[in-house]
Amino acid sequence: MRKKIDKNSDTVIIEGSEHTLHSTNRRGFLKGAAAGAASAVALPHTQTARAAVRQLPVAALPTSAMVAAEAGPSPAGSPRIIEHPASDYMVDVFRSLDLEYVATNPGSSFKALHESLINYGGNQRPEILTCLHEESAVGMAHGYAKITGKPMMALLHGTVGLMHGSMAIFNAYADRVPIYIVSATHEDPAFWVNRYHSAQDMGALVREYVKWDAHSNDIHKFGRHALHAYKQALMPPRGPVLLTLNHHLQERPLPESERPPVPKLTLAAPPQGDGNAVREAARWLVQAERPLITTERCARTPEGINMLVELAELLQVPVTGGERIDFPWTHPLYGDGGPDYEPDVILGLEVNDMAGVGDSARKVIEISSAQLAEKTNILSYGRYAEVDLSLAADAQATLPALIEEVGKQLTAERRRALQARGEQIRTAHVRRRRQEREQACYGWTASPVSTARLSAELWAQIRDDDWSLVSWQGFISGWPGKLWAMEKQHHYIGGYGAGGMGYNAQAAVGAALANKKHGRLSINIQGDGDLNYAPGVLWTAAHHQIPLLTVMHNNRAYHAEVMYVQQQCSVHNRGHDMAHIGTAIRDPDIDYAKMAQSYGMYAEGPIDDPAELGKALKRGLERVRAGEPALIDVRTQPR
Amino acid sequence: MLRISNTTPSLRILLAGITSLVLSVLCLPTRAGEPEGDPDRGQMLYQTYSCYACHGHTGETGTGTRLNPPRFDQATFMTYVRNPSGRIIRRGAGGWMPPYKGVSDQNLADIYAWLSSLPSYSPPLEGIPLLNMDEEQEQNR
Repeated sequence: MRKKIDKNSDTVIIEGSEHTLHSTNRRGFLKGAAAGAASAVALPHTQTARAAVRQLPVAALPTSAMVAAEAGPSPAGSPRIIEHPASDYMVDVFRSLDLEYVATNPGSSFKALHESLINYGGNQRPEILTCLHEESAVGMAHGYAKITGKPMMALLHGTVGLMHGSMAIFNAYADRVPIYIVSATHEDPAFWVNRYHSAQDMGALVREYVKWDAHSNDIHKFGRHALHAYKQALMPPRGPVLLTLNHHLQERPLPESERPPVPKLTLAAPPQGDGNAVREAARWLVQAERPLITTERCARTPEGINMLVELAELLQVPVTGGERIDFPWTHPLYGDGGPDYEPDVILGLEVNDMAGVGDSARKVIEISSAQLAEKTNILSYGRYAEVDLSLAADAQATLPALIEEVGKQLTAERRRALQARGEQIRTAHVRRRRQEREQACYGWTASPVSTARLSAELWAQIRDDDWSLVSWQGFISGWPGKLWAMEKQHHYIGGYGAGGMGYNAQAAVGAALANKKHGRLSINIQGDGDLNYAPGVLWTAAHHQIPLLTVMHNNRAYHAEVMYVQQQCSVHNRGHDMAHIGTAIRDPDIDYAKMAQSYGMYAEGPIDDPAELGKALKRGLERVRAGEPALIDVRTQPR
Repeated sequence: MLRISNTTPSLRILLAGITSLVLSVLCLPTRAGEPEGDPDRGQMLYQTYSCYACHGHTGETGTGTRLNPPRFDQATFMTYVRNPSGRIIRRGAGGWMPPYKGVSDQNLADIYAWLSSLPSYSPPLEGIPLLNMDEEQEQNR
């Protein structure tokens, strides 16, 4: 810009900006401001020589009321400030449930509760876990509950959050794991996006696979809803529950004087089997020549394992089942008794599907709480089983009565006779364990790395720690179960529940979080296909400093589907070379080490050479023992 | 009737040699008239037909039976792959393996040649310390 002085009018002219400005005099100019093209300057009427100059608009001066509003104190009772929102009371209610964590991906429908958790609650009990997908939030809660036996909260935004999380909710439902899900909705949204995120009946989206749900729109009912949900989650058969909150309910003012009291929490004692039926079951088991116990989810607590050992040792009966550690897998009675052991009485403890177990040659007893709460649209409830004695009861809760009855009915002579059976079962167990180690030799030095080699290399480095396998072992042919000493409940947490992919990585992080305070070493043998559903959970592990060693079982495919589609090509007798289409995860190969590094954790790989594996695992374990997550990418044989 | 005990030592040596020759011909992996396999092509086909999916990349691991080393001759192998009825392998996954009826003789010969060329990647249990760490505990259970 350029200024010049008009001596005739004693004015300063500034040219070169969007407008040409005139000041009445030079001194006035120097005192005033002439900044930029947007400034409005009142031009005196004496300025006539500059007819071509454009007149700028003039802003109205503020009134005295406006000045007072800007500069004075805020009027009392401003509606923009709510110092005691109802969401603070909600935090107090949730605290009475002793919830350690709340896993969430943020959303506007619960913004008030979110703020109360952070500021009123101090982000403590529960502490917020930041998740990059709602499925990860629920998946983490699933794994956490399998270690602790109690729920974590998963906080989900509206319809979209609940739908995102629904796969993980169904997995937990099928797996009979308690999760405390809180969702929120807007009542009458004016903003367009909130209309898509809100529903009149949120529970309808997931009702088929939650145990219990309620929609809380009254603060006086909220506390009872919240506790009722928690009680239901933990009552066998355990499972996820849903509590939906209205958005306005959270944000309404609730002074101390108006707060309802926090209700008292009372959990229900689990249902025990009928006395007469227990007595009959004991009689069959005592009199059987070759009884067998099969379990899936019997031991809700470590005490359940001890009781089952006591029962098995009383009867000298083999115990089988690989879903959880209901019984130590290294115990001499663990197994099916050997290839020549044809059971004449089978006791099933919390087995989901007993159909096909029995026939005319044997008697079958089932003790299962799942019968008490079945839903039927999805076929997860299993087939009708033609058993001989059925107890609708919690298996662990029934064990004390069953042990007592067996003890009463066993004579000294019968106990002596059973010792020979026990010896036979022990011999079969030892033989099987050796055969499994012999089979582990196959492909030992091959590349890609055999899953047996991977499992054995890990075992060599963790066997002296208090370790926990927080992943499913089905895709790696069960090698940890064959080679490691699976004895305690936290040694193995089982699988997906409903087989919905994406579970493993998320549950592993949640279980590792639960293990953290016990100083346990958490190991996750992770399928590549599963990880890609929601890999952002790796960031959550890094962000919250959750120590976890993830070892990739990287077979570069959705491998079960490779086999299925190959089978179909062959059966249809065409395209035998086409099964990789839609099933393989290669071209390009995914670099999981780089993926994990991008999420902020130590990682290396891919490892192809089995001779390098031990050293890589050692480096990863050093990080994990120091309190960090780490990932080692290993290219493996398919199974 | 010819009895070995009635024969002279030189005749016994001759008989042993003839028997050995006949047996080795019968046990040959391929016989006259069967296609000659190309192991390099066979390795490619083993991957293309997803054989590795059930039998592992070296024919020693996975849910399917071990193929390294091959248990039978080429002709039997070709028959079995086209119709894995389970009749030949008494205790195998024959019931699960699908039939590969449309695969040519040459392709199967190539795969067989590759499997036959593979070294073993399976040392004995006694030679693997990692698998013997808990031997004493296992025996004393």
